[in-house]
Amino acid sequence: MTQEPIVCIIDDDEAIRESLRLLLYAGGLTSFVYESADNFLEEEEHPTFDCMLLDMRMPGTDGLELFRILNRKHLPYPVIFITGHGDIPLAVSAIKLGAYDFLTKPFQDGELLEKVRSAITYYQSSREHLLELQELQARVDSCTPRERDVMRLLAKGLPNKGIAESLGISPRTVEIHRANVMDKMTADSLPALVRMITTLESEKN
Amino acid sequence: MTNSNNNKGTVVLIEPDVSVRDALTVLLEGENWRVNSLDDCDDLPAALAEQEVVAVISESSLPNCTPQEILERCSRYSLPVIFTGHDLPVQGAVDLIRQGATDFLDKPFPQSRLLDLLDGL
Repeated sequence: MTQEPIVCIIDDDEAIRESLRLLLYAGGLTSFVYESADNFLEEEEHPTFDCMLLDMRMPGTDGLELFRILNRKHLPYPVIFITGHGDIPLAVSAIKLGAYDFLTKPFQDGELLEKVRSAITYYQSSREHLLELQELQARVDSCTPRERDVMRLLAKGLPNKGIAESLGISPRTVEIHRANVMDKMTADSLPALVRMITTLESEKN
Repeated sequence: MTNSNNNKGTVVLIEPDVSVRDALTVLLEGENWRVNSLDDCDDLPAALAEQEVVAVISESSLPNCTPQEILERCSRYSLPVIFTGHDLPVQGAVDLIRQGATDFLDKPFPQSRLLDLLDGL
C-alpha cells in the first residue's frame, strides 16, 4: 500500500515557495513548506517525505549543507535542487553527492511536475523494495542454523539426497528441515524459495 | 621543483582553441604535469594508449566527436575525464556527470580549481 505522497518545499523566497506549492497542488500533490533549512531542522518531527524541493542558495544552512545533514541522518529522500541559471558548479556537486535531480529557475510547470513525480515513483519503489528485503531477511533469521544450511543447498539446486550427503544427515531429516524452511519462508514452491534467496544475495553483493 | 623527476604523470588535453590550449599547457607543466595536447579527438585513441596517462581534460563541445564518445573511450582505460565548456546549460553539465565525467568546469574557471581537481584524483 502506498500512502499519498508528500512533497517538502524549502525555499527562502516566499513567492517561489507559494508558486511551487500551488503548482504541485494543481498536479494533485500535497506539500509542506519551510522558509529555510534551519526552520526545517528546528522542527522535531516531520512526515516521511517522498520528494524534497530544496533551494540551493539560502541564508543560514544552505541547500547542499542540509542535503549532507539528511544523508548523515540516513534520510535518503530524493532531493530535487532548485538552482539559478549560472549555478553549474553547485548543480554538479549536488549530483555528485547523490541528488536526484535539479531544476533551474525559472522553471516550466510541466518540467516541475514531471521531475517531482519521477522522484516520488523512484522513492516509493525503492522503499517498497527495502521493506521487502527486510521482511525476507527476518524470515531467514527465523530459521535454525540447520534449516539455513538446507536452504542454501536447496537454492544451489541440490536434491534431498545430495543435501543429506553433503550435511551428513538422513534424507528423511532433510525432508523435515525442507518442509520447515518452506513454511517459515512462506514459499509455496521451490522456485519461489530460490527467487527469495537470489534477491537477498544479489542485494548483499 | 622544475622537471621530469617530480613528474606527476601525463594529462591528455583536448582543446580546439589554441590560446586556451597553450595557457592550460603552461599552467599544467608548471605544476609538473606532462601534457599531451590535442586540438580535436582524432588522435585520442593513440594518446590514451600511451603510458602514464592519468587523466583527460576535454572541451565538451568538439566538432568531430561527442563527450559521450570521449567518456566511452576513456572508460576502457578507467581514466577520469574532466570536461570544460562555455555556455553549456546546467542540464548538459549534470548529464555529463551522470554519464561518468569526474567534473565539469565552466569557462572561464579559476586555475586553482583545475589544479585541485587533478591533485585530488
